[in-house]
Amino acid sequence: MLDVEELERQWKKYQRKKQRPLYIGGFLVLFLVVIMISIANNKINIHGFNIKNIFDNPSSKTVENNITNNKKKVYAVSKSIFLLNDSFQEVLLSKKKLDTKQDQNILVPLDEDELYIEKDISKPIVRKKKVSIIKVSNSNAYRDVERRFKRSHNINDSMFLADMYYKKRRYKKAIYWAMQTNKLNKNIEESWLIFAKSKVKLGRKNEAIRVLKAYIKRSNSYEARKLLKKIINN
Amino acid sequence: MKSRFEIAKDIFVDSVDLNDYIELGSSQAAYRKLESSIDKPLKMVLLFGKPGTGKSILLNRITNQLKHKKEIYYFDTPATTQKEFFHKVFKILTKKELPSNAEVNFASLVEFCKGFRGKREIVILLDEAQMYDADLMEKIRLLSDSRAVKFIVSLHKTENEDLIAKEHFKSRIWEVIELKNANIEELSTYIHKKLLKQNLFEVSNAIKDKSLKLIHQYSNGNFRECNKLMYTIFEICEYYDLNEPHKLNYVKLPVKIVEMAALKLGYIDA
Repeated sequence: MLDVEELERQWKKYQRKKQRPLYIGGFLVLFLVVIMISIANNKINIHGFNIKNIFDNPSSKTVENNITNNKKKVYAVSKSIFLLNDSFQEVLLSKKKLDTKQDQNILVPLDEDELYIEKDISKPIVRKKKVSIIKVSNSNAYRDVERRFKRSHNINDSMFLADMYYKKRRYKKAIYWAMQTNKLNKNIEESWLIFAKSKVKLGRKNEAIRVLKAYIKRSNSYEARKLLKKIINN
Repeated sequence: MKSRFEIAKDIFVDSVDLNDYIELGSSQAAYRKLESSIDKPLKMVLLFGKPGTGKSILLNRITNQLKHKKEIYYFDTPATTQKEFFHKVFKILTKKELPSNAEVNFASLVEFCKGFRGKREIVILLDEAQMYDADLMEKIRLLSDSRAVKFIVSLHKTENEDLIAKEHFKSRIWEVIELKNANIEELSTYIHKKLLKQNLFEVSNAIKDKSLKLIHQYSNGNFRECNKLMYTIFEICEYYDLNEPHKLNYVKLPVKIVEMAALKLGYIDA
């Protein structure tokens, strides 16, 4: 006599066994797809990061000059240093203006003694793009930007520092760099806002309200009014 | 009253009953070849194939078809001893029963055979001939050399037996007929014809291509294995029909049931 219930149990077990390779195969395919996507994204990021940062920087002309001299030069970015070669010039020339404020990574040419020069290139232009990345600490990169600001008094640098220090919760430094920006140009809204937000974070709410009211009086800024309302309500 | 699945199950009980014989392309070809070999002045014919490829039913059928035209005898089970074998042969040749304690003198038997060469033509079909020892096979050959008795030797074909058969018979066999496992179309015809023979139209229609493909895969096209599988399939169907009819699709035989039957017979492992 057939034990059909036992056979059904065995059949369920057999089904699981039969479908196992499908699950494993599916998982492997998914895994490979994820790996490929992440590799592809990494590549795009590296390229995009380079190009954008170079153009963000007002001193990128120096970069270009150095490149045209057929020499490799090292540039420090807030997080990394890039070694550029000649072929990169083509990419530089094709790239247009980019917004610097939103990006945290600024390319900074180092002082002569800090430069890491790999070797001179006397050979003709090579098509291959080569980028070496050497990590440096954030604080070093910020000091480089500060040093550069002292020379150039560039608002982009001071605004970048104010923004970065605010994000890193170093509010006193953020206030200092917002004020530096404000000294150079009183109409940059972001510097007012960072200044006010930093004051609030340091517990000086009244000062923040006073500053914002003064700015609203000058500009009638929507963002400033919104922030003021938020500070008052909190 | 028997349920349709019970009837279907019984159809696939393995047997060599001629009433169960299903004509297929390959079996018809083998039949014609064997029939023409019997007509030729050959001494021995080798019929071989794996177990379950239809050798026995072919021998059975040819005996049945030719028994009124020729002196044809079918030894379906091999004799356990030489004495028993020659008692059977003696009875065929002389149409007389030998006392059970008497021994057949082989040399006299051969001489006796030579005596009716051209007058009588006797055909003896030996099924399961792999069971005969080499000494007996040699004596069978000597008998066939008399040209009065023709032997059709049927052998299982396994790796070793195939070698033995070739080695033993290569100089003695005049014709070889090989039976092979059925392809999917033949197996499909076999299953459907068997069911239709018993007027089980609905059951036959319910066995779709996907199930047939699986049945062929599990049975490897072997009729005996196919019979076992079909029997078990209908046994499961019968159970569901009686106890859990909601689990049974009467229009299409579920693949699940084919797989359950295969599990039961050990063709697949859970």
